[in-house]
Amino acid sequence: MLHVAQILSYGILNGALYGLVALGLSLVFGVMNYLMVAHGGLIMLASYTTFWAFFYTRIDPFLFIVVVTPLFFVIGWILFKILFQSLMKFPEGEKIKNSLLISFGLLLIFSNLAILFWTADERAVTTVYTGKVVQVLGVRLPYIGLGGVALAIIVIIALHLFLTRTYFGKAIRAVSLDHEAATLMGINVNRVCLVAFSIGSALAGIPGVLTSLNAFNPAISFDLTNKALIVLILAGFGSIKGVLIGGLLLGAIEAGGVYLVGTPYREVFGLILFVLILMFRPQGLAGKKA
Amino acid sequence: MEKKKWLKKGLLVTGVLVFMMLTAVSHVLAAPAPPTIKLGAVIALTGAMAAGGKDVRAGYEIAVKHINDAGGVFVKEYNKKLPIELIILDDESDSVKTTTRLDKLYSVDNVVAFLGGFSSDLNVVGMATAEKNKVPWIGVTVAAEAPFKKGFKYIFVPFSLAHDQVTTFYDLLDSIPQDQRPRKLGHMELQVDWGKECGEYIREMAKKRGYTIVADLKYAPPTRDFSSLIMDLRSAGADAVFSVPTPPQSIVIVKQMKELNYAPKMTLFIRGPDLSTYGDAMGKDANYIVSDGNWDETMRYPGNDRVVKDYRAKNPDVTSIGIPVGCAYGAMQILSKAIETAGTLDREKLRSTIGKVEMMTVRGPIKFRENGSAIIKYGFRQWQDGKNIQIWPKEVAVGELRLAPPWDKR
Amino acid sequence: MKHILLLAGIVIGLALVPLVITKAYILNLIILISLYTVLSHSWNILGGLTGQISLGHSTFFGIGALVFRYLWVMGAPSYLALCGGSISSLLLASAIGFPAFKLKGHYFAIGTLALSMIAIITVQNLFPGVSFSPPQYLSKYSLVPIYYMAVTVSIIAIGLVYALTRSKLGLAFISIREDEDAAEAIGINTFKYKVISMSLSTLIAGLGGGLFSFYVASYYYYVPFELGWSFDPVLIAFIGGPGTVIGPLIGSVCFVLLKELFAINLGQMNVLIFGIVFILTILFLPEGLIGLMKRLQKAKRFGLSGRLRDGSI
Repeated sequence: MLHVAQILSYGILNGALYGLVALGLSLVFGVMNYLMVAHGGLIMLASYTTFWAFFYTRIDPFLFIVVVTPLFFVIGWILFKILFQSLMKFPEGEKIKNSLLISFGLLLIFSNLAILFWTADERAVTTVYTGKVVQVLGVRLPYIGLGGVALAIIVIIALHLFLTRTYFGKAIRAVSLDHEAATLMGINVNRVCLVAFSIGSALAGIPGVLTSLNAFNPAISFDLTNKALIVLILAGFGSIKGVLIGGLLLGAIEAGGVYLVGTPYREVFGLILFVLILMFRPQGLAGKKA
Repeated sequence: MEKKKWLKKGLLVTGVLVFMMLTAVSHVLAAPAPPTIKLGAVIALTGAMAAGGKDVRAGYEIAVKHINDAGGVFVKEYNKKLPIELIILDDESDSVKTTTRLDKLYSVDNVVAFLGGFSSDLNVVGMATAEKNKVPWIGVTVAAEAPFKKGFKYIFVPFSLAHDQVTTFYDLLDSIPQDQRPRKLGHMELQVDWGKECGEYIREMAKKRGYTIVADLKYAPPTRDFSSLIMDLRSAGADAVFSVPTPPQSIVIVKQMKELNYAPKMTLFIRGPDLSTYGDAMGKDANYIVSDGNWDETMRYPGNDRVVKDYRAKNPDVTSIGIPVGCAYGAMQILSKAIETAGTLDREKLRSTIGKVEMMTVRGPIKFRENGSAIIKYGFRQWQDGKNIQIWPKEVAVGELRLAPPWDKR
Repeated sequence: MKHILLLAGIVIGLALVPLVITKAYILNLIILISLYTVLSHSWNILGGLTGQISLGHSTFFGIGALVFRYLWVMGAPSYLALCGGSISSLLLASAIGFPAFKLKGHYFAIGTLALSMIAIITVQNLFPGVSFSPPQYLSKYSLVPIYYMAVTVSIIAIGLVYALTRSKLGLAFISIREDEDAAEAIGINTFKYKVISMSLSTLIAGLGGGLFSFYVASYYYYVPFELGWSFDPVLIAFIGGPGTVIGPLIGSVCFVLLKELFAINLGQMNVLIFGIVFILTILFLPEGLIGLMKRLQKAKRFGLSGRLRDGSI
């Protein structure tokens, strides 16, 4: 029984990370229909930033979030202006296709820049509290994992408040529903997309920090993007909370999968269930039917 | 009508494009060859295997520099010393490109011999390419034994194989005094060919040598969560663990072992902790992990000091030099000795000569078997106080194996 | 007609190539180009023509390779094994591909991505080792028969897409791509046509897989299942021009040759530079390489109507 509880706890902790990984991608896609597959690359770069900051200044990664998030907001801003802004004028199909292609190119560039600057060696941040746990009824819960869950909840709440209580947040929601209608209402759609993209990029900072505390190298850009895409589709479009729920669900399924198919097939189990869920709910868990 | 015109134009444009590209490529190909000994290597400079790839490259380049500083290799056929020209291409950690680019080095650059890249995955494919092109191939960081059972004649691997690694593992265990010796082994088998070969040997030798495997578990390269494996090891009471995890996994497993408070007396992970940045990444938590010891900078073999010095001159920030560096250097030493002994750059003669080379390299004495594998001294290193030091075999050890205390006592 | 003569000329030219060019490397490059052309066209049928963006073609590519290898090592003649590989792809598609059509748009894309991830992990676990060519074959290894198979398979793939773009079947595909609901409304059984599209697509992918397996002397079983084989054809088809006959061909040529050029000359920076060139291409040629051709055509025919139509509809 304890065994099950422990495994499941790890599954949930992993799931929180999955949710955070998918969050930025979900926002960008919801607002402007860009499949920003380079998001995994941004997370990887955020991990490296955190790592080097820790290496030289010994600043705690969790504290560093207040630096890395605005930093990646700016990076997102620049990326959008240089690369994606020009795509805004295209029709829907072209836009999605070209944004996908550009993002893929970015992914290649990010991971190879990382290899050039920092080599492909495996990195991790190990702090004094790495490996330390809090015990609850015999189940060992790592501090870092709990930190991840806390962060996920905080970010979701903050994002929710932003989107529902602020003018800009409401503008973002309006744009994600209908670009034309939003324009007619006087919203500057271009500006909204720019900001939303930058927020999406900023949201790469948080999973970046968490990943840096685990283990990373340039190649995880691809793995993280894959995970983000899976969670995004599992959650369905249009729901921020759905992303966290999707992530947690995926984490729990993978954990449970260990009992049914064994460790080597853990991910396969999660993926198969993902596909099955889609079969029964083709619009995702929280998505709205087209 | 329009469409046909377009098709024609399209084909024409394609033809022109192909012609232009091939011309550009062949322009590169058609460069005249200077009087050097051309050697070729396809190494993972980008992609998943790039971490070890750069170490292999570093080893080769330092070796070539040393050889060329001395004038080159004396080739009797021309009665003079010829410098080595090593052409290195990236295979992007993609085994298809390994084949294609090795073919380019063969058919375009006419290299005398191939040098291997990094990791079994890519090298095994490279070895088959060398065999089909009939070009001698010498490489390191191949531990899988399957290629040696195929009757290949052109391949030479001065490196440890699964059998060496497992045997030495048991040797190390035997060296621990009786009263502290771990008897219950935990084995985590990575589902790749090398991992499975190690698994077979571990199981085969356990009983003979007086140990019991109390937990025999499996995992795969994408596995990122080891909680259930570690809990199984813990509840089975395994006090020594053997596995060959990938570099990311070798970090994650140890972190989770700490979280789950599992501290076997000895943990042997081959491959992950032997690359340079493990200590930086893990900090104190790296301590007590035992890993590959094919080569270490402290080894007293002739020429090793110079290798270490030159490497550190170019890479001053590296705390611990990755093992492929010395091993790759050794491979180049063997190859140049073989060229000298053969007195010619003819590939067939070279092939038969390499197999007979018996020499002392920076990683110790080497002698080849019929099938191209080598009889070498294999050992282990252990992370102690933030440094990865050689602890086995006794002749080259600079420290002793330390058994790991429980986590809260470190 | 002139048209047929030109084509015949090209085919004969291709057939003579191995007799004229002795550098194995050139043959290698042509084989690689063929491989990518076949795979891109296979994707093109489903994605370019029918608008169902699949990210899971590596699955069908891989199974084609697996079955080919098995049959071939058992002694089957190569072309027979090739058919076997191709059909196995189709069988797999009927099991997992057709049901995927319940999903639409992005969901379909990511669903197929999940399928390819399932495939590679499963294969890695079931077949963790290397497949070596039988030793007697290895000693007589020659690129020439591989070259001919590559050219044959490419011609089949290109020919099929060409035929589709001129047939009612292709028209049905395109109507589904343009507006699936409208197509359904005018009486086209979209599911049936999507199934046909995927069948053709996976048959070609299986051919590509067989060619791959024939080409590589030895490889790890999981390699053709790697996700790169899913993504690269999508990129190539998009950059070349999705839904066209020439697009994937031009795309493959540029992709393979450019990568080789960079790899030979740029050392460690080759993939980085490739990525940069790639992005620049998209920014400045948003309609793909076909778009470039259109523009050149427009420039030549200055003053005439700008609406020129290429090989697609």
